[in-house]
Amino acid sequence: MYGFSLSSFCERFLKWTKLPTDLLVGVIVAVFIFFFMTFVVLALVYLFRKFVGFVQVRLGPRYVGPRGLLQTVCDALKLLAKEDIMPENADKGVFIAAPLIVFLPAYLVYIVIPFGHPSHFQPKDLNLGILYVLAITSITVIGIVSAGWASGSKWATIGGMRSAAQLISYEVPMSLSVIVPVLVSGSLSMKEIAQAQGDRFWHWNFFNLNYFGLTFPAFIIYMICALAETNQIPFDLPEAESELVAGYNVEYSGMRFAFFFLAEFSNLFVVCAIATTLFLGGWHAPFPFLPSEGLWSVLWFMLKTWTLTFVALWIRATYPRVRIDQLMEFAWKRLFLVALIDVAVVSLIAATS
Amino acid sequence: MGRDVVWWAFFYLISAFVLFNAIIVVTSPTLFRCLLHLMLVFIGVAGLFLLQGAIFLAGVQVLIYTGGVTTLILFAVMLSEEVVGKGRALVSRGKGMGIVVAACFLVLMFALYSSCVVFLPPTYEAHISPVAQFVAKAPSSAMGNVEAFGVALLTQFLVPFEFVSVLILVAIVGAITVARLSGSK
Repeated sequence: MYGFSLSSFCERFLKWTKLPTDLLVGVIVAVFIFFFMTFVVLALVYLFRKFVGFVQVRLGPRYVGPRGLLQTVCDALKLLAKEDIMPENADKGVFIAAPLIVFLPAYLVYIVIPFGHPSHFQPKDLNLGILYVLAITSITVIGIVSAGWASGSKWATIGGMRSAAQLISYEVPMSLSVIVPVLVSGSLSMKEIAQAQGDRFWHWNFFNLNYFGLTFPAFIIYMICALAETNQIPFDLPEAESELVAGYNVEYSGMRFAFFFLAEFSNLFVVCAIATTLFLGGWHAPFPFLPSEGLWSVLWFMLKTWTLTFVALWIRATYPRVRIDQLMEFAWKRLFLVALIDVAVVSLIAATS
Repeated sequence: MGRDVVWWAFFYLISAFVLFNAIIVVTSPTLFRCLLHLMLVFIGVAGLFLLQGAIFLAGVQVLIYTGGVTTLILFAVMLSEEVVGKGRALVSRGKGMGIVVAACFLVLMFALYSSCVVFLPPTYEAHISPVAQFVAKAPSSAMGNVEAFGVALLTQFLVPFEFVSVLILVAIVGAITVARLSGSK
């Protein structure tokens, strides 16, 4: 209309620089994912403050501004305005790199998640799918341990160590429980796993009637491990306030702390989104007569994901912390065993049917 | 697989990245930093796998080496005495032995490399491993990287695969035995 539009500008830009179109699409998607991630974290923080404030009768979150809406703004401003302190005996390079090592995986995971019907709402469907997610998220622990070590403080170091032990232990049953939906749908791709479950909720992997509901233990194990992997409250030993001040991130402040904060909340959302994709049918509606095209698919996906997130917050608000030996025994002697048996049984059924 | 200028640029860039970090791994005086650079080496190698089109291998490389092996070594380092502090000067004992082992490894690598060339049909390029070759020959093109890998492991490479599982079993039993011995004293 005015001789200028975004697409024509992009076309001319690409012609001028001779760059492939994929690159521009990639950059736009990357920027969009970043804003989406920030939005998710903001929403999650708001939900978290309100809900936990309601459960634990905290006054601030319920009365700051209209309906407590300003509490998130206050939190963010407080974080950004804080002085950025680096401890004297910190290892500078590692101290700076650690928040990024934690943040990057949290950001990169968004690429493969189908937030709606994958033709429009999945950034990129990788053949590798869930394996990519497991691989990328396994890097997080290195960032956390680095943060603990580089701070040069014993509290942070102990927090980092605990985190290493916890994350390695819970990654094992988590990977095993993820194998179950992979076995059922016969693919690693997130898109195909969700597609295979269809729009009948009794065929979803959390209680798949084709497998006599034997996929249910895998779902529960995945959720427990997801809480442990994201340091949510029954498993938040790496940042136990009462014992470790604040754990691995105690020496961090300002923007660097904000990265940890962002990654932690974003990870909580992401593990719930992955659980939705693997076990709750992804973007499908629970019944075939309900609409699940276009934006409806996003609605269904978000509904399921936020429900799971809400349950996680609920657990966070109500349960006390477990002890370190209980934590380890639970992972290796119970979860691991149950997950192994479940994988064996489900693969037996998958092989015979 | 296009082998154009961009491909080679990426290849040399990633290779330089891997080598640079590998040198830091063996020269840095701080144990913890060595490990972080080791992690970068592993990620770089995953990048090299990606360049060859071995997507599954790249994913497994990151999952097992970066997420698993590095984390385990990290855990061991955290349990060592010099966790907090700048570490000490590098002491390497048995330099002669090290050179011998490195030379042996070099010979082994060359042997593997040349054996690949011998067994390959002329259409395949020399640096494709037997497994990758099998994957490339996989019957249907619709078959993904992962499936082809599974088929290759359970048919042509079944014996080495089983040997590896025996090796892992031995390692687990050994680890438990060592842990028990030191615990009972």
